Amino acid sequence: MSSIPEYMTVKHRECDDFFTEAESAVAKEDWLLANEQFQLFTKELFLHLAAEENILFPQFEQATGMTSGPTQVMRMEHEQMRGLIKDLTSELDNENKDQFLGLSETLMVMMQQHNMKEEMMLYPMAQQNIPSQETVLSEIKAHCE
Amino acid sequence: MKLTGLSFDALPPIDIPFRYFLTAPIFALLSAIIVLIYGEVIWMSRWHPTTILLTHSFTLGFITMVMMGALYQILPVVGGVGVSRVRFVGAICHALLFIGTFALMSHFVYQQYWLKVSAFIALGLCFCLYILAISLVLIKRLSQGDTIVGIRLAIAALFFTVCLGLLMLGRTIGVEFLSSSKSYTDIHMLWGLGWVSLLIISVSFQVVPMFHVAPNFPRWIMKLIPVGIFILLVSLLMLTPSSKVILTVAGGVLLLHCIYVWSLISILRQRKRKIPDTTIKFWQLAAYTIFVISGFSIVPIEFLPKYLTQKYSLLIGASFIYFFILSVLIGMLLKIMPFLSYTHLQQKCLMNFTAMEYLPNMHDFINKSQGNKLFVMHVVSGISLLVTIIFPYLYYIFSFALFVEFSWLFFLMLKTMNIYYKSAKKIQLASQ
Repeated sequence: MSSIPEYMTVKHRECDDFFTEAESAVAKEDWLLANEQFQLFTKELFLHLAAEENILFPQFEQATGMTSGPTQVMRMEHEQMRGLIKDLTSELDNENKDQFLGLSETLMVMMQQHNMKEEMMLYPMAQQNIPSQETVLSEIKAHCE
Repeated sequence: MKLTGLSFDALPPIDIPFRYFLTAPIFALLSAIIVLIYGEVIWMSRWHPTTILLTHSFTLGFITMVMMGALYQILPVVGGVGVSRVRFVGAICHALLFIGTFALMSHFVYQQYWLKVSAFIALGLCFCLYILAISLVLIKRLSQGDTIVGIRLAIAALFFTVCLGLLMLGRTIGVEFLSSSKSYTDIHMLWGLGWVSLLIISVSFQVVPMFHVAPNFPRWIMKLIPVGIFILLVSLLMLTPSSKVILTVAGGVLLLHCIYVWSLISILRQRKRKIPDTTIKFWQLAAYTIFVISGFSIVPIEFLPKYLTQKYSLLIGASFIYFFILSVLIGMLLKIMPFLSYTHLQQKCLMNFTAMEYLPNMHDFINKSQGNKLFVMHVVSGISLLVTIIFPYLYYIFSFALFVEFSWLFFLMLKTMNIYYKSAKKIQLASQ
């Protein structure tokens, strides 16, 4: 994983894996496994969101001069995801299958649409514009691992 | 990639795509009434005016209506840039498409000169404005290479479809640029199916992996299929129209669809998200339909019973439209309508997070059981369509099944809109 887009995309897929496992476990009402996978998912996702907000986005904003454009929208979507995760955690605690699956469908589509924008637009733009790629990537890796 | 003009939140106002979605089932319900009124005569020949009436009610009134509405929404997501002055363009094109389609359908029934002229003007203006507005977005340097390339080809296909359609309609009102060869109808039909297929295929490269957490389509599929279909369609304009040329091109287009759906099935099989999902069933139905149509079309005609050979092209065309195109569109509507409603409501909560308690989730809009019922209704009405083509005296069964299916779809749409507006009101009150 030699570039920012590659590394961040792999992280998106890891989050997807944990999330789909948790969702499948809820569908089968295996609450123990669902809890385990959902915790792994939230841990991975929160690390990823923080790496973007605290390391990648500021570098992007500095390099492009765009402080109120794409990164602002991404930050707002992060907040929306956090809100949904809070609700999902509460439904998981209550073992409410139908509510969880309704919310998980919502989060899944929102997350995929968000990831698509990042992978197809924001990350390539970051790669084009941020001068010290390797330093930023090392910082992100150190934060996430 | 250009940074200027890139907007990650250029979603059109929700009423723009929704006015198209909500109008579409009305034309499907009208189709059910047409089937009931005209009965057996519709199924005698594809050249009968009532058959053309029914075809346009579906292809313009339902299919094109849904796809035009969806494209306003798709462009900002896959390209990062939306249609400018979207409220104006969206509202005008919708009104013109509605009026034009209605006038065209009425012309097939009443054969009045003023209806033909009205249809010609309304549809001409509608598509000119729409194609221009979308093209202004597509000529920009956008992201998402293969999907955007496919959408560009789809819009070019729409342009040729509309030109041919208007020229054929124009012939009957004294604007004679085309001869009266029936081959032009076939070419118009193939370009029309091409516009829909190109858009479905290109958009699927994005939405199938996105909605179902599936791997991406292979690069060669994303590059070869849309361009291949388009080149075959262009050859129709280059070569002298004849039934042999048209059949060869149609065969080539079908072969490319087979390669595409083979890849689609493989992608769906590898999806990570395995929980039951009605949209997946619609995709699978669409994919297997292409295999069945291909299998049917390679059987030498002398091996087929007479009741099938008599309606050969009608059966293939109807299966393609009903089980391939409509299945994908309805399956996508089940996903898009709740998601759009949710996204717009959530944006209203950005300034006031406490209002998020009034946010419904995707299943509150349309739940799994309601989606499954729609799938069953679609399969039943599709089968009844094929049975009616073979045994036209059973037309009333198809009419009934069609009416039930699209009433249900219409109900689900209205329910979604109702929940949206109620929730929006609660969020607004909580924010005051």
